[in-house]
Amino acid sequence: MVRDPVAYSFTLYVAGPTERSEAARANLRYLCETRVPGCYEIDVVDVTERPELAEEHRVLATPTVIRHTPPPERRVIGDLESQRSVRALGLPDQGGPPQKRQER
Amino acid sequence: MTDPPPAGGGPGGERGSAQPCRSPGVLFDGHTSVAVVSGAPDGIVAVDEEGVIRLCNPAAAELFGRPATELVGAPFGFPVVAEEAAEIDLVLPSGAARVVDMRVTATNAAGERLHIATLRDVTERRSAERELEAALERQDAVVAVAAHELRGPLAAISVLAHTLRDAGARLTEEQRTDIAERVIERTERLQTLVRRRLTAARIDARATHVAPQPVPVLEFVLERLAELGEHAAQVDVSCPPGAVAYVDRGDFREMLVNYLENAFTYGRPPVGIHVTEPAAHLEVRVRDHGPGVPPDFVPRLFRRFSRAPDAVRNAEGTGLGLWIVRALARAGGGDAWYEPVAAEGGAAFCLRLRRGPPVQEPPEEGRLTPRSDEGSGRC
Repeated sequence: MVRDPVAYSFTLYVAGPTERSEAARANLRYLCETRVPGCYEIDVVDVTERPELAEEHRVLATPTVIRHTPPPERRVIGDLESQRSVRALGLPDQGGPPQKRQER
Repeated sequence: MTDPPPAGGGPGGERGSAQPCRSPGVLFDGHTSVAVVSGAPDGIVAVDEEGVIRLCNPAAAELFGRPATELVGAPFGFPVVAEEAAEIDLVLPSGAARVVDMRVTATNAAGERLHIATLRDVTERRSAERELEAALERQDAVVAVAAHELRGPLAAISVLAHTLRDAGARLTEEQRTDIAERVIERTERLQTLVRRRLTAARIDARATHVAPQPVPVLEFVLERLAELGEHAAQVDVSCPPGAVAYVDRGDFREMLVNYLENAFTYGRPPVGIHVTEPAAHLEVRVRDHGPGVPPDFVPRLFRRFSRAPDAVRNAEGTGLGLWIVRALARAGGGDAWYEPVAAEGGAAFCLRLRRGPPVQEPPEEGRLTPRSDEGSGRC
């Protein structure tokens, strides 16, 4: 199967350089690398630096991931470690579930 | 009317029955109150399969800092918790964050699948944990610094005592007297270190209440000079007759002694104690004729554990003396700061004290509360 190079695009909203933010960033990257390698892009928005973006996109809590493409938009909040995250983000259920956080 | 989701503190729910009621447990669907979640202490939001908030209770509105009408219909996101609970940050309208534990269960209500996110505020708990970690780190540093400070004088006393014991018979009377004086000198140094440590601990613990009283300044200063020993002859005092400070005597003694020790350790005699009454306050300046303080070090001068990079190598310094002076001065409604003496060279360490009781006590009055902007210079 040939995928569009950026078939999946996400925005991850975090709050400051905390352990929680780092874990969310690593987990999302791990999910994408194991499910849609090479055809995804992730933008990270720190709401403490860009509060206007949080308001504009009605982000009520962090970490929140918004999947922009493919449509429809999906939004997930909380841990990104479980198999439920894969389903919630609409990622292909292949390549095995993410078990561990990606080591950075 | 929609049946209430059973999870998250319903009438028979475990959480609802075990926790005190913080606010009325009513789930709100944007138009009417649709269910009573009796005694719910946590914020509860019910989201649909699209992650849109369909219901929330007043506690949730309070946690988000937004009215329920704004929350219902808003895209919260599909809540995912890997284990029992996940920690998330709520983004408040002010831009601040509130840390909550989120637990998620699912239920069917009116034929619709709903995911119930129960939110418990743990901001204070997290803040307390961070403060505790910082306090423990500081305590480790304090113990390490104290051990380092005490080791030198103790080792010297040990060597001197062994010399007296093992070679006492071969020593002249003059040599024995010299050794005894050196033991006394190092013991006094240890006493100074311990005294400062205890004062710092008292300030940290905010354990001591300030007991201000009218103190005749000239008499008080002369008493301190009498305790100063041979250094007293190198001190000049100028003080208006009848000058009175409204200050805790113990704190005043600690402040003045620390300034004098600082002058003799890092400055050079002669040392002057100059008291003036410029306005409603009384000011005390301890001046020395040493090299002064490097300008780039002045902002850090009154910070804890702060010592000038070119401080005398063998001077007994804890980096606590000036910090103690400022903390005590501010606790008593005054202040402490440094002034260079450009014309004649040297340094002036200044103290502002009250001359009488304040008209209205501020809320924190009477407790030792060093301000957070230490090192910012004169107020």
